Amino acid sequence: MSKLEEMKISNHNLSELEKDLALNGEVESTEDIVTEELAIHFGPQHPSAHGVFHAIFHVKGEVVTKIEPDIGYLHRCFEKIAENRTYTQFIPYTDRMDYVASMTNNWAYCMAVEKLAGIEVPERAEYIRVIVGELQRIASHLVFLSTAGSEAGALTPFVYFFDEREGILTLYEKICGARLTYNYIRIGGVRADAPEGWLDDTLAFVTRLKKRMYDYDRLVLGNYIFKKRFIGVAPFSAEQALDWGLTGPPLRSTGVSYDVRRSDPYSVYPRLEFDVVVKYKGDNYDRACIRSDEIKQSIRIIEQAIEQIPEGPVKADGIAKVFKPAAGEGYGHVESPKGDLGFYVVSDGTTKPYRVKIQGPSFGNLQALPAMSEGTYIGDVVLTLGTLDPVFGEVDR
Amino acid sequence: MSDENIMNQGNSEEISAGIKIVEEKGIGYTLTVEREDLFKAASALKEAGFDLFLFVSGIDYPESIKLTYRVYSSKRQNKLAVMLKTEVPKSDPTVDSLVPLWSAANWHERETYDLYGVIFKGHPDLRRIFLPQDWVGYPLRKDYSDDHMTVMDDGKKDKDKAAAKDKPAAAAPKESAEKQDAPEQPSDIADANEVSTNGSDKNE
Repeated sequence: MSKLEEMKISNHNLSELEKDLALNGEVESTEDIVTEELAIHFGPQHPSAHGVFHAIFHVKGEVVTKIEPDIGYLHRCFEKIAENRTYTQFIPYTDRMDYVASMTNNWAYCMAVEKLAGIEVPERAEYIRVIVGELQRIASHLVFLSTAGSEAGALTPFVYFFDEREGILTLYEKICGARLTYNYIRIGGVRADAPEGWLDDTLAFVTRLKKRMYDYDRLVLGNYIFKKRFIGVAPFSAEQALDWGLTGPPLRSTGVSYDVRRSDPYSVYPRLEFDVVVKYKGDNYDRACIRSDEIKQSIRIIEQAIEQIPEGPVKADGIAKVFKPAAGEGYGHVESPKGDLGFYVVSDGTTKPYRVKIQGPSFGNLQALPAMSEGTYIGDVVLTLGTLDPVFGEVDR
Repeated sequence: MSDENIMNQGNSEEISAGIKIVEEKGIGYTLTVEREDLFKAASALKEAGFDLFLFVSGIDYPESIKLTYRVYSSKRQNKLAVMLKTEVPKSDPTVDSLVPLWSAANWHERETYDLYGVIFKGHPDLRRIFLPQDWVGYPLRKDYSDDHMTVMDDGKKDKDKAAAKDKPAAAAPKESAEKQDAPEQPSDIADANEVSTNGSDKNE
């Protein structure tokens, strides 16, 4: 219905324009002007596409009537590759899926293999996983906030958020030597214990970030133009969100409290206090705000984890580089910054997985883009795409 | 997972008449149905409050393709997610589409069609999703091969060597003339012991 109304509005504007043109003598009669539906190609190489995304926007005036997404430009056959690698060899490939949040990819895959093979992870390793996983959530959401701002024209916050993210990447570099593709979480634990002073550095970092989040909220989410562009745009109801299979922040912004950390508790999350952030309007602004609030919850979690972390080993004993889990199936999933990230691993008793299915939240979330943004203005589609926060390494896999 | 394994698990619940979910090691609650009953079982799950479709995965076996769906419930208090399993024969890989129940199944079924060749009856737009529309074959099937594939040598070096020796001498030049970019060597491959091209000499 809203689509029709929008059309009427745009037609109304057009007739105003027609009158102007007619008055200037450029057009003989206004009947000659008709609104024609245009097909505009967006991408595959487009700076606002967050990766290689191709879509055809059908527009009538300024209003988008239909979107035809076309994905697959970054398809790298990870599921096929997995069948030709040993269980351990596949971990680095998971880094390359959602490359903004590699740590949670490692985690989900290792968890699936651990469930398959029945491996117990030592407690200290679980705490380290929680700390690095939550740092990853903060880093990913900082990238979201910076790009969301820049898409609405606010380029300055970009610099602040990337500076903060740099702090997290430095912490990662200290703990595992890599800044983006970590390969740090391993089957049965983590690769190495945190170096001396790392936990103190992390605590200092989150304490500083906690203070600054207040300013950052005002800088982006409180900005007048940002609010004008985001509030009320492309709202989604809970029914629609569930029907379209959204997970993660886009689903929680519609009032559905689905967070894997609470719904299917893993690791040491049951011992940690935090709130699942839920918003109710489901528009672009809620989808943006929810990420900022999740950063604050992640900071809470990290503070508690650092306080509770016990001494001990960080890797389960007796896990060889090449091992043969008994034939069976394992499904592990975590709440990644993008949503419910799952790995479904099937073993036939050999050293290599028989099948690895990757359930990428970006894939599921992107699917809702047409339903979400048809009927909105073309200038807002990029914002809506941004608030779904897809990473195409994970969409195409 | 074999039937005995399912039977051995104690924890189960009857969702509706004849639809019973049982707990299975490693993956949680499971419901296994014949493919004719898939839509009925899925409808029962939806009725019971499983309102979020998460994925469908194919698994290739010599005679059949197994399908595993995962659905989640935002309404129920416990047993929140179910793996719904079915199996289609390779001779007739068709199954009912679940798009009428969950719009989210759309892309997931397209993905399974693209990579496994499973035909989802009633799907509104069953096209390839990752690969080009004119692609031939279904890459995640175990018997798939094409000229671009490289596979890891997994200790079958001796077998490869034997295969290279068995190959008639006249066949090798002909083949390398056909494929200009293919590495021209049956013997180098066996020596390199890490990577061998699937197209040239690894086909059984």
